[in-house]
Amino acid sequence: MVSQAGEAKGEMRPESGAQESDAALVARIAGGDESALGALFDIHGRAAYSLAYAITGEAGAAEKAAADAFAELWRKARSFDPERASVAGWLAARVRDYAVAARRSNGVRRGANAVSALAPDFVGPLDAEPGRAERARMVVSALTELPATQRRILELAYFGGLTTREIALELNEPEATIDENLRRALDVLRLTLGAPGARVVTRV
Amino acid sequence: MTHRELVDSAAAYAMGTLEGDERKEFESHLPGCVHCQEEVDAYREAAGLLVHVTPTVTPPNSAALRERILHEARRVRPITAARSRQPSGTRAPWLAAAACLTLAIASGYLYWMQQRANSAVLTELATARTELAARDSTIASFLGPEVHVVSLAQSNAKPAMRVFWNHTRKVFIVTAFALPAAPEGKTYQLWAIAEGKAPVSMGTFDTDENGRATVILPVGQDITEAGFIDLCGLTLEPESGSAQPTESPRLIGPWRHVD
Repeated sequence: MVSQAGEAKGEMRPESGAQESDAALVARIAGGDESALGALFDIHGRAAYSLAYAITGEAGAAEKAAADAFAELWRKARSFDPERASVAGWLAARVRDYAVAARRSNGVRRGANAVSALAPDFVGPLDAEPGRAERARMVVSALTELPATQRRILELAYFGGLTTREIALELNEPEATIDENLRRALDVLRLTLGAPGARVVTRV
Repeated sequence: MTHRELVDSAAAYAMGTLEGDERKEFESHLPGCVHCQEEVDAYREAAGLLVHVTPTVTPPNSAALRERILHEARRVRPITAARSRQPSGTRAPWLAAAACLTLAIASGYLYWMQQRANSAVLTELATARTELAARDSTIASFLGPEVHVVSLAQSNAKPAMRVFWNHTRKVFIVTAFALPAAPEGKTYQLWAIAEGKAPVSMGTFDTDENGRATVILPVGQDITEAGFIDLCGLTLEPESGSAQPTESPRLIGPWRHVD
């Protein structure tokens, strides 16, 4: 059963009392309420599409990956467990999996030059939404802590959908080193999940 | 694989990079191990954060995409899927105990992870990194040269906090992870210190009861114009902050490049 209680982790959007929580929307979706699915799309649709596009690099494939993820949420809403994942985190994971599958089946060349998804221009669009900008800053702060190699491995794995073996070939490193570095990189991101909310403080 | 090795595979499994026999072994282990399930969930959630640094693109026809999703929804009714995790009531008592242990060691774990991440910087892949620098991702272009970092620690102790200075965005990102909350009526204040000049305030912040804080402080014009800043210092000041430090720094460290 979907619990309506509790705030979902890893929100993609600013907190707002006027908007229903993601978990509450999913609870309505579980009851077969289409308008709740539409509302969830209005909140997360653009981020879902953006992620799919970063991976596939192609509008049609990106739309399909986003649509497939929302359709899956619709089908599985009743078994969605907010204790295990935030709605945003769940959607991101499913979009990413569908997009990676599309990338592979389309025979997109996988490799260093094809994967460069982390945004250099994140300042603009994300700053337009204060809550998301805060979260983005914390993610950037976490990524800043990573050695360049770990960031590269993270990109190749997450956006490129490469396996350990493929990343090892790409970077000419042992597979064990790739696994170890991927885990370290994700551990640093996990710290960000557990971090208290960032606050903007007036300067003295 | 030992259980330790299995736990270590959770990240690769969550990212889909694990293959072959290792993947099979992990998949056969997973249904019976709540700890590994939680690890996989947490790594998936963490990886999902990368959506925040993905370039934002608007779908060519957002309304059509929305309608496509709703159309599909009208065709298929929601189903009740089997829960992949055991209901908590049926968990073996030792698993519940293990979960409590996980919580209990969480703070120690954070420090340990930090250490593990940090040691990586020094110990590995020096030559490979040089090679990689040329074809590194776009992220390096804004994280690298424009960002400085300072780690603040008491001598011979683990770092208590770090401050990132993003010159492009003109912000300090203050991350404290082991800094006891300031006493009543006091606040922490950071100082930009250049040789031969009076310290300039970077701003004030407070930590929570766990000694943690993540705070964004704007970089003032006076600091931008001060030229080269050598050090960052931390003092305890009256809660409204001070124009000049009222004590010698409790913690101090040199700014360095991120990479």
